[in-house]
Amino acid sequence: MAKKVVMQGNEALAESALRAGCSFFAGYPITPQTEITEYLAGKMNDMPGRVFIQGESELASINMVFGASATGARSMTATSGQGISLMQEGMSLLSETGVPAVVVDVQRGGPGNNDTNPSQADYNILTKSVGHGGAHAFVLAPSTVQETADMVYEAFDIADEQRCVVAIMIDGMLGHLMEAIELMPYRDLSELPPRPYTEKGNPAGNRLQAGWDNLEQVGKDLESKYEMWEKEMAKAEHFMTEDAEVIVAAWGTVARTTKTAIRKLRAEGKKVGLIRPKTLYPFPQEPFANLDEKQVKHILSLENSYPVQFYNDVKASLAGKKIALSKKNRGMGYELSLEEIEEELRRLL
Amino acid sequence: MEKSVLMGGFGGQGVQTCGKLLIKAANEEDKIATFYSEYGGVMRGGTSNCTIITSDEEIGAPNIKIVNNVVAFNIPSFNKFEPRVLPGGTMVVNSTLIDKEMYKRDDITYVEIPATELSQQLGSSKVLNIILLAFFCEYTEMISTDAARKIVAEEFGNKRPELMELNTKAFDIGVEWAVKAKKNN
Repeated sequence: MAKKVVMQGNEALAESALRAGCSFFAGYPITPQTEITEYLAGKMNDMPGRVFIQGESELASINMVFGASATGARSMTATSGQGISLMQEGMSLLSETGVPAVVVDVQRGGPGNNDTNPSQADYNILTKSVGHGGAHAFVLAPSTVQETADMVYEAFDIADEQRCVVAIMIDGMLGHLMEAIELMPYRDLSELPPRPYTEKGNPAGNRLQAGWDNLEQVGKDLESKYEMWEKEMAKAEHFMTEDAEVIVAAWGTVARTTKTAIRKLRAEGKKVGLIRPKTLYPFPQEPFANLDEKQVKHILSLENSYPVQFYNDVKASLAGKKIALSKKNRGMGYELSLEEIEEELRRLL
Repeated sequence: MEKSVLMGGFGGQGVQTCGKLLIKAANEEDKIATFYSEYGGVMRGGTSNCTIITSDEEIGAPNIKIVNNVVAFNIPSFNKFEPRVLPGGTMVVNSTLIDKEMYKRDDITYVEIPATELSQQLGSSKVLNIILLAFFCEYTEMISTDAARKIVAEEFGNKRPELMELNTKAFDIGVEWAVKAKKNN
């Protein structure tokens, strides 16, 4: 086995993107995302067939990603909070035209000019509709540095196969956390799956110029694609749920902090577990819908956001179930601590 | 079984480098480990700290409040982190800067090394962190001294070969003091 390498989340994400064949990156520095841009700035332009551009803004960057991807390049951008807002129009157009892209959000806390501490405040903006028009990104939510590297590697394939924007949501905790990981091998740029629909692959024309008469079909195709995702591509991790009477619903770094609390309570014989969505859109409804009402007494939804966002998807997934649901959240740059999570679980058990 | 250490000092004392060397050493001996540093503008001074956790299984929370060990590089970190040591845990004290009279607990072990003074005797206060790293590994055995020595050699041997001799001396002094401290306690 190759020796693992110790990397920070942001750098692992950037390195793994290069290994996945990312040949174009445009982005603009913003805390807590900047290490991704910095890492790629230091590497990409020395690598044959790859281009790094520091865009003059987030708006420019997402549109550069559009242009590069339309010519066949595996393309990515990374930003945070305000930058995600600025990229909405571009992400909407990418989704409508079916041009693949990977968008990384290292989240900040709350709306407006927000705090840079760990946060899950961009849940709704990335899971409900990227920009105007109701189109969806495929949204991945890792909770370890290894998973961050693995998910970005997979993200480019999903974007290509599904012709969509794949968003990866992490936060300052995961972005700056260091862990030992195994990196996937470098993919040969010349052997990546062909994209017959791009300008390079099919100069004769394609959905990029759908034309007015085709538009309704474009909308119908999007809808059936999202239905397929919801049916077949949602993923979640079950952690100690087999006999659990109280189950936590949480994602990203909140979920990993919860695991420590659960291990501690399990050591005392308390029946507690965790369901952690790994895809936020499509949201894994089944793990919640399939819960046994006789076994599970309570669901506790945890997140780092004021107001709650993730909670509403958990609630919707439980529709009709006779299982109590409650929430605990912090936000605006304040994070749920291990102690707070443990205390809340003890109150419910 | 999780074990943890919180290191704190002034920005510029090498706390972050010390922590990063420690997680690399943990990886060297195939331990699962995390390094978490609270984000802040610490490079221009102010306090700097990081938490390293090692385990034989997946690590959940990387930013825990109560830790097995603290390494206090300076007085503000000593005061801030002394309450966060688990009863029975260890507080490594840079005794050049921190006076015994400041100790407030009787349920933890304090171990002293005049790291700043020792680094100055070597001719560079920059190696303060290497002295404390070696001392911490040798004294607590949370991460093996051999693995740490190897990582220091790798990191500085590759990046700053001119500093290798100085760092090796600093490492040896840290180990030496830890051996003495173990005998005394």
